[in-house]
Amino acid sequence: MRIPFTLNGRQVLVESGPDRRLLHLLREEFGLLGAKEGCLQGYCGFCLVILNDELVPSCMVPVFSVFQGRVVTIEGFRETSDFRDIEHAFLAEEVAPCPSCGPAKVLTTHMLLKRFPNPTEKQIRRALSRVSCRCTDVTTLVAGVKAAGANRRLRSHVR
Amino acid sequence: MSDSSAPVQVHHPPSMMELLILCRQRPEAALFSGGTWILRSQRSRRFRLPEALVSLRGIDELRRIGRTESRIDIGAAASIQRILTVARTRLPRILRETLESIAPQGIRSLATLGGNVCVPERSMTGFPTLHILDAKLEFRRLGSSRWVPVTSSRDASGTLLIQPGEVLTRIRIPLQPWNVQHFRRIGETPFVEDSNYFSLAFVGRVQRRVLADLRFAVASASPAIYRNRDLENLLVGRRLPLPPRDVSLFLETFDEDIAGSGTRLSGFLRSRGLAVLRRLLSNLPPD
Repeated sequence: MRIPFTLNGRQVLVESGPDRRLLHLLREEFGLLGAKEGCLQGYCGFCLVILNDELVPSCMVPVFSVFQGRVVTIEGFRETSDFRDIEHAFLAEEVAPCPSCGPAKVLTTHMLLKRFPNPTEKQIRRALSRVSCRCTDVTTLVAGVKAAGANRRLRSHVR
Repeated sequence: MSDSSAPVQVHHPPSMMELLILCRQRPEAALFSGGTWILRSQRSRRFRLPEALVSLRGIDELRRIGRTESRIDIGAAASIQRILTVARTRLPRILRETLESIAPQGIRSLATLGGNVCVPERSMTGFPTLHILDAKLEFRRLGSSRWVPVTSSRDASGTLLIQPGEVLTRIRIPLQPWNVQHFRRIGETPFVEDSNYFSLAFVGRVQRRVLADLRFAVASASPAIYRNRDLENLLVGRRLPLPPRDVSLFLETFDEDIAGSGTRLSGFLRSRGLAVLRRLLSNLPPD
């Protein structure tokens, strides 16, 4: 079936069986390797993407579900200044640049800051609990997210 | 479910009217919002899907959440994460606790309360909570709609009483002043085949040290939930704190009753459930 949707801000049209996982469509048809295959059950969080402004595990989304929807992956998000707030903060706080969970943690942080520009530690821990990798200790992660929030608030005041 | 050679037909109605027309024409098609029940436990590269599907993603009306002074209306296709995000401070605490216990966050971004209610083969996590909160379900079909109390939405065997061509569109939860609210799930996730779990939804109203009202319901991997109003009335009207012997008598009666009710529960889960109930009843706040 033909599935039109918006991918990282661009209109695309794919021909695919409806039973294919969005994760595999993104990786194999579009070469977008940021979302990783983990548990294939929606638990580990490695495959998170933004679909219609919600963070979802792309392994649990059949492609027909994105019909006329809006998908944003880490590759698309990387083009934005919102990404740089998080990138600089994570570097400064030494959050491990883990290839497995890094993209998911960045997108999770972005969606958290959209909702809570100055999140509490509890809110940060709750949000990041959806990504199960343990490459970085929680204290460092919390510091990284708080720093990202500070960067973003500073940028919006300066603008 | 389709085999690898049979094509899957997917419909994307853009409006409620077109959805209702489609449901009348294709009553056998499976409604798909988050799809977490249909897709559970599938690890193959390709999903095994029903032969005909109707995607609810394009229908904004099914995702609306609204509130008045006396009730909250939740669209059947609103994701659980969206409900928690948009309406967090407006939800009864027990409903918030129930929704937060449904699956990890990633799945909650896809799963819906409507889907949770409509699972055919078992009572899922949300059902006992909606039952004791006197929630109602709105079913619509072309040309008509009806509101059904959750308490009478399933028959004695637990089968959901939905007519062909009908769609669950809203869940309405009255807002009542329960000053004791508690939800607890013990055991495995209900998404796993042959899982064993015990979900307890418990609300109470205490006025001037008297237990003015008490409701509780238990769900397990059975189609029907357990709820016994006579048992609830055993303690209603009692002064707090409840005497230990009254609590023990209540729990013995509950244990015997649930064992004979056909509710699928392992001995271990039953004993853990009893312990949770004992702690709740023994620690009811006097006001």
